[in-house]
Amino acid sequence: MTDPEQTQQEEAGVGVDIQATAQEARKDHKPAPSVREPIFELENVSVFYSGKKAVDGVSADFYRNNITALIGPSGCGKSTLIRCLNRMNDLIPGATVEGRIGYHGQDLYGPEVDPVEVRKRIGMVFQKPNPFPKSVFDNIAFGPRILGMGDIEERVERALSGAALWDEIKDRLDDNAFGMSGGQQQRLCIARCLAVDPDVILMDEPCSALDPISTGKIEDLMLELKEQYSIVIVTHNMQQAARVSDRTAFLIVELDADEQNRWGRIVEYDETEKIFTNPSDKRTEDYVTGKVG
Amino acid sequence: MPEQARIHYQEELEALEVRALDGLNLVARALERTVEAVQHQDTELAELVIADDDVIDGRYLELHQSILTLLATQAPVATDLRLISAMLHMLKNIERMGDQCVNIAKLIPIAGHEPPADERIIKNIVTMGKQVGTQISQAKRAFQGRDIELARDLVRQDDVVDNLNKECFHIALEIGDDADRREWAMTMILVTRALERIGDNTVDIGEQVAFVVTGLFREFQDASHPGEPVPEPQAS
Repeated sequence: MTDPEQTQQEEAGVGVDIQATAQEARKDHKPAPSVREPIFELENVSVFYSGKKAVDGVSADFYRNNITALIGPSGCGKSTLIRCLNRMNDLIPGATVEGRIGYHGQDLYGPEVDPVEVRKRIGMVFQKPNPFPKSVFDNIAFGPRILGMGDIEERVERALSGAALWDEIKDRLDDNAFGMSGGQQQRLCIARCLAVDPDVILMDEPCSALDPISTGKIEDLMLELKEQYSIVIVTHNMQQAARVSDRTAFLIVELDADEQNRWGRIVEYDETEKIFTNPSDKRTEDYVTGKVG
Repeated sequence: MPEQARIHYQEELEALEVRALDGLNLVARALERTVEAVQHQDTELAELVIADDDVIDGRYLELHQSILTLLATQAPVATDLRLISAMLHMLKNIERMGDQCVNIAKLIPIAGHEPPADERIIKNIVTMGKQVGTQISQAKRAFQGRDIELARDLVRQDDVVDNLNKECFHIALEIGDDADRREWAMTMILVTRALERIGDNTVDIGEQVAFVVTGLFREFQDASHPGEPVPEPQAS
């Protein structure tokens, strides 16, 4: 069984002795570069669950200060793929990753890499908002406290402001986070990521449980956050991918000959504008136009 | 196997295209009547052309609204989006071609009941009318079949109309000193100019065909840089 406290810490992206590396990762930050800088370099990445292939041979670069969207039908492995980017799949017994995932040029799965450190620099926001059963303040302060980060109050305010939540919630910091609306809870989870100075934010269907207004707020927030962070998002909402992302990868489900095994594979990865106006692959065309599901 | 989806939307989009292309049939009929009215100085037929332009305008408004609804409710993308963009352009072309027929029809009473007509100009106008009618039909077939070659051929076809237009202009210049005859010839120059513009509209529709197929918009002929080669868009 997974220790709930440990899971909470991992989802909050906490680890050991990482403040210096986090600052190092951020100190030379520049706004959206004119020349693209790969932040992730995926080389022939395949993922297996208990030996069964879930994702097959993905090669792609995801870029800094970009929003990269992963789209595709259910079961195409997009959530599996995004969970490889901060080693969340390590938490699943029997999950193995083949190929190479470079992160800032370093092998993300190298033997010297601490997965907890990875999850701190590469935060994740899930489909369902998952605040801790604590106050708003303590939710945000949770990670920084464990990491021994200073200026907790300032850090909490900065994180909530960064998640466009400060003005709404500043007078209710002691209230239980469960009392917030779904949209606020999701922005709280984003703020929780921001509080530990991440480099990348992964979002796995972050708006699928939200109403259109809350979705619009999260999308606005993503566009603001990409000036400072790199974002990878899995979404079932193709219009959301079209609205917010710079590049889009389309994955399909492939079946073996006897249709017993299925796995996902990228068939097209390009500028979002190209994917939604003039895709190169007929399968992408059929999916984005909704002709096939 | 992936399942077919959004069948109702696809049917809706297909029906819109059928209605839009039928707009070209309306224009072809208006053009045929217009040229016949010029040829026979038939003011009643000219009035019918003017009245029937409401049908073309109505088709434009109906489809424009349907396209807005489809954009708002179905969020089309990729080829569907390019098709819709091209249909909006084509509908404007259809509406303008209808207006050019009206412009010609309004000139017929001005030319007089028994005008001092020059047979050469009338013959050229009839030939131009047939040629432009052929181009409207060709533009429709090119759009229906997503046929870039047929679309590009409209440029060659339109040269015939342009040359006849120039020829009529020269005939008018040399028509002599009789004031009535000169006035009639000037009026006919307005007619040939309107026909020439209808021809240009068919080429514009051809350019939209290439856009739907390739995703690239390029004019077949660059009016501001005549004679310079225009790169051909390639199907992706």
